[in-house]
Amino acid sequence: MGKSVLVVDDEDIITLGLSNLLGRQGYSVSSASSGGEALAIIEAMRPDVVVLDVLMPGRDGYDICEAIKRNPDWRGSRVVLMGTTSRPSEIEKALALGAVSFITKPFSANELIAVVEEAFAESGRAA
Amino acid sequence: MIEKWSLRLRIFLFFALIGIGAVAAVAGGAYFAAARIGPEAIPHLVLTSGGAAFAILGLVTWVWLKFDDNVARPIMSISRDVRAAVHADAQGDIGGDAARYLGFLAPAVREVTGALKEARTEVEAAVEAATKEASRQTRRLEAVLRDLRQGVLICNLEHKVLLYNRRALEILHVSGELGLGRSLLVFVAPQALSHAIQRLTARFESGRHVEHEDGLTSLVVVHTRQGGRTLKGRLTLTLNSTNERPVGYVIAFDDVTDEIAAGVWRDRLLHDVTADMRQRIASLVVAGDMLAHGGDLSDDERFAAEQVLAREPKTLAERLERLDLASGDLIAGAWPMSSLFSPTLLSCVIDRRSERREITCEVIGNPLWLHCDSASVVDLVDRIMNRVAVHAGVDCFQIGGTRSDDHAFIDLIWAGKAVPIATLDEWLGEPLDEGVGSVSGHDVLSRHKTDMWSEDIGNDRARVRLPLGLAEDYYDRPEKSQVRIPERAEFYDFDLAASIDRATINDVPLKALTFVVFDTETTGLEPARGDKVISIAGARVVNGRMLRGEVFNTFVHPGRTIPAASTKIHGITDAMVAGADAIEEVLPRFHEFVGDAVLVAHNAAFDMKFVTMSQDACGVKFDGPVLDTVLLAAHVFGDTESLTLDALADRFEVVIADEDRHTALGDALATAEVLLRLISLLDGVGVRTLRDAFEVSEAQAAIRRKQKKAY
Repeated sequence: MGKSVLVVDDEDIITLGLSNLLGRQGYSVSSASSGGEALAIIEAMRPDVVVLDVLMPGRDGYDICEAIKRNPDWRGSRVVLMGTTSRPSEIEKALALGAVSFITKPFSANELIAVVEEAFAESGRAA
Repeated sequence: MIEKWSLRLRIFLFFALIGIGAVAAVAGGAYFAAARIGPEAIPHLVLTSGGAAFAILGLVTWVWLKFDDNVARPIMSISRDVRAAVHADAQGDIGGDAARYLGFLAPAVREVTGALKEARTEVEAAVEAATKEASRQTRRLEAVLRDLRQGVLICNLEHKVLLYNRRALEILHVSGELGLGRSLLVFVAPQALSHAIQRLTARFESGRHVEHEDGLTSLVVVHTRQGGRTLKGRLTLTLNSTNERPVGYVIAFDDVTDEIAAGVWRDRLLHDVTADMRQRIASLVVAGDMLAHGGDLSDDERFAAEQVLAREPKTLAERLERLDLASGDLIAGAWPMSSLFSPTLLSCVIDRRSERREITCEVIGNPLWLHCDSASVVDLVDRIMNRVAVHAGVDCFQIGGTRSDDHAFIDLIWAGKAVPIATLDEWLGEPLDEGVGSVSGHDVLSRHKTDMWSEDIGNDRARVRLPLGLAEDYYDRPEKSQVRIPERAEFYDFDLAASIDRATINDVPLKALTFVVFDTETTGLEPARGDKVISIAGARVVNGRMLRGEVFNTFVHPGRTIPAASTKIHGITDAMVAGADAIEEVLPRFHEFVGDAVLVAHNAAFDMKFVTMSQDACGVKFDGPVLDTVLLAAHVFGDTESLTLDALADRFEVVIADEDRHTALGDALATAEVLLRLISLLDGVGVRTLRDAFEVSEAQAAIRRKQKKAY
């Protein structure tokens, strides 16, 4: 199995677009439209990288990120958080909760690819 | 004519008359004797009468000298001393030893002046008692004015400053030396002030102010002439005691330069961003439409549309980012953010204990200056501490601040696990106490443009972290030049005369003039041979009062070494002037300090020589009137008395501390005191206006020029 990425966002067009974009980069991409759904997929598939939207109804991105980092079995999954602000305090909060990086919407395809590749590099180092 | 002759001259003439009369009588007697006795007696008569005349003249001269020494001179001395005692309140040893042959005159005069002094003391005591209450009230007013964060000025209709407070001095100091009696228009542009006064006067004259909601008050925005500051405040017209006509105005103002700059920036940003975003969204819509319905697009057209789709969202994101920042500033700007020392914040949290739990708190970390709304932050931290105490079952916390680059963290640490983010979010969603307006923790965080989270920090310990801004003021504040203001400075004078015109200044009474009494210290006595000013100081004398709060005092870098011989006199060394400004910087500042005041110095010619030699290079001109206390004192005391500053200070009982003597400021202040007493004395001898003072000074200067020639 190749490098796997899970894209989580409640906006369908984002999951669709990002899945398409990352798929074209050769990643094996799955997607979820809510936090709960994401956790189920993580449990089943253990993706290498989770690209996670911060603002979601129900359990938000920080909550899911923290849940991933708290579960010893899931710790191999690197989390990239997508937020709508670029305040330093928000970024520090994301890193404090275990995310490897924080990317502010809107971002370009290249920016996202760079961040995901960086996450894989982290993942490689961690492994 | 005869009344104008001095006592000594008249007595001399009197004795001369006796001498001449006696000689004439002897000569007359001898002539008649010769006529009677015959020519053979002439040789004897010449001999005896010549001897007698010589003896008489000798005796008369001797008596005259004794009389002059023991009567005439002491009487003149007594009269000078009495004059000094009456007009200038000096109390020396009247008559001194010289008056010992005048019998009871000297003691009697001493008794009279003593009684006068006593009577004065009594009057002064009475006046003091009567004014004590008034001055207590005044002090209270001064204290209020001093502590006001707003600048307050009271001016007359000629914009002359009658009162200012410390804050006004701080705000306006950027553009020069504010002082009583100086025109406010030196500091601020006149248009807005004049317009407001004109409007309010019209409102007053038509009687509309009675009904008008603002009465005699109007909002004004004025700009400083230098420094580009904008002041916003309220101007209120003041009326005379019978409320018949306006006599001046009060203006209370703030420096709003920074706020206005921020507002202008925000407005511009909002305009730019919204206009620009419309434009870019329009492009996106067109490009999207082209691609959606464009089966027949050429390659170029498709490429162009795709370019727009790739480029425009990025630009839109940048604009949004700026808007986000601006909105954050708007939110933060609306709340009472202030600088706060972290130990204060932490002790407030510890004292807060809203839920009365038994919690022990240890303060850790370094003290920091924070920028926040302390009340809401204290409530938030208190709330989180109480929730964590229950959630984690702990009653022992460490609380402290740490600095990280450009911001600070407030950390709440306990033994246990981090709080799940969802739980923390729930707590933050709850309303805080009513004391902070029923806002939630989230509201407090967004007000501070910050966030909060919990994390494990190892060793089975966890923390809640709250990033806060640092008070940049306290870390980046540039060294401001501090205005030295004595505790009880004279900040007001409501009796200032109406504007004095240069043309009519000569007729203004000395007592009503504004003087700047100054002194310089120099490297030597000869400016023509390269001697330079190393210190210059001035004090303002307004309406017969010396304003100790308005002094000019600075060292000057002479651009050369200071000879040891001159250091011995004034104590100023090369090291002391090393960091000082050059005369080219100092003199324009001094020129501004002087304004249209009359310059005064002790031996003014000397100081003026140094000043005028440098003025061309400094681009200023000291062409106003100048008075010399040496010449004025010479007119009062005569030329025979010592007229040094020390002698005059001694005579007038002006105390100069040893360490201040021969410092520019010490000597300037002493000269100012001497000037005030001289003005009183001059009044007694009919020298009342500036013109009179010039006339007597010129006469004294002429005498000196003659004496100089004679040598």
